[in-house]
Amino acid sequence: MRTKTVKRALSLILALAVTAICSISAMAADTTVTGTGSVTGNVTVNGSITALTISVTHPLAVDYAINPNTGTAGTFTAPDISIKNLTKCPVNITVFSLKAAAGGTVTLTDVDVADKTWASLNAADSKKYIALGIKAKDANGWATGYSTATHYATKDTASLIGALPTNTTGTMTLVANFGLAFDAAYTAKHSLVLMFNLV
Amino acid sequence: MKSKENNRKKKTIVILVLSALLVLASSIGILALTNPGIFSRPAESSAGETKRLDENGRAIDGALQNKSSDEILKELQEKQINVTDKLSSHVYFPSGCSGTEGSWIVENVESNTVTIQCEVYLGDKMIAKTVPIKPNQHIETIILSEDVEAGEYDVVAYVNYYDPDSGNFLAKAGFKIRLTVQ
Repeated sequence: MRTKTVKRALSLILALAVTAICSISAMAADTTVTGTGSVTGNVTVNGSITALTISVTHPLAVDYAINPNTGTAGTFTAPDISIKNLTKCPVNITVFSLKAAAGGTVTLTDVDVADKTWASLNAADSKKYIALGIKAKDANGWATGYSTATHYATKDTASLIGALPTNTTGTMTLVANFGLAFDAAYTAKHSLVLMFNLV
Repeated sequence: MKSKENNRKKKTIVILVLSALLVLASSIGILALTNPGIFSRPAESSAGETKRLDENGRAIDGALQNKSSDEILKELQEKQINVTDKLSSHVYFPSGCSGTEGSWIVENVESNTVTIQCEVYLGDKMIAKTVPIKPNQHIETIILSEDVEAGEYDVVAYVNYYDPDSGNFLAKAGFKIRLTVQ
């Protein structure tokens, strides 16, 4: 009985010794830096970074309505153009282009506001010319420094409207000058291309 | 002799009468052709003695009520369709040879109601185009369609939106992203 106990104890001691030796052996696989005084050990750190996903919600198309019968100079009605930045960091919103397009019953020609005396346009010119523009509606949602200028369709270069912080909605709106002598109901189209990029 | 002369006279008179009738008839005919209404009943007098109100329906009471701006605005808002774009800000190709498959993630979220197809432009040249991506689908790869030298580039990825039934082009939006060609 006593012999068995001794044997068991010796077995346990042997197992512990083997375990200790193996641990020391494992530690011996790492780089060992030796020296006197200060010792520098170089450790390479490898990082893997995934590109950020850009995500934005915006209207696919924007409709507007012109009623020459109401108001002193006719009424232009268009819904807000709301843009929500779902990216995890700020995103720039740029009007890349706004141009008259075919597809309506009339194809309008973009002109500057100052080019026409709008209230005096005759029937032919009323269904030919328009000064259509887009701008930030107000400061809500836009980062400091956003542009309050109107991008008119006659402009051939892009206009940076401003930056939207993450999870924020900014609003743009259409503005227009137009003639009144419409002799029938018409439809017209413009193509708006927005551009988005990380700030 | 006398009777012969009388006969001659009678014949002359008959001929003259017939000629006169012919001329008269022709004149009347020409007059009728050039003035079609000349022999029709004259128009009713403008004094209104014969024109009467035609009770052929009922107009709407009150002045015309134009749609208010708010009503028009509401109609336009209800027609507006929103889309959500979701794409990686980096495209990577292990080689610049045309036909190389690269890595790029684009997702057409489930809430969208349009099919999208993306085009990557290096300057004015399209260098890659995705397959059509329907709502609730995504891509993880894209094929290079032009040779591009190795390097890092600023490119524009256009997301083109199409009607899912007709395939007609609807609109597009652009994203400035980075391109790496190994």
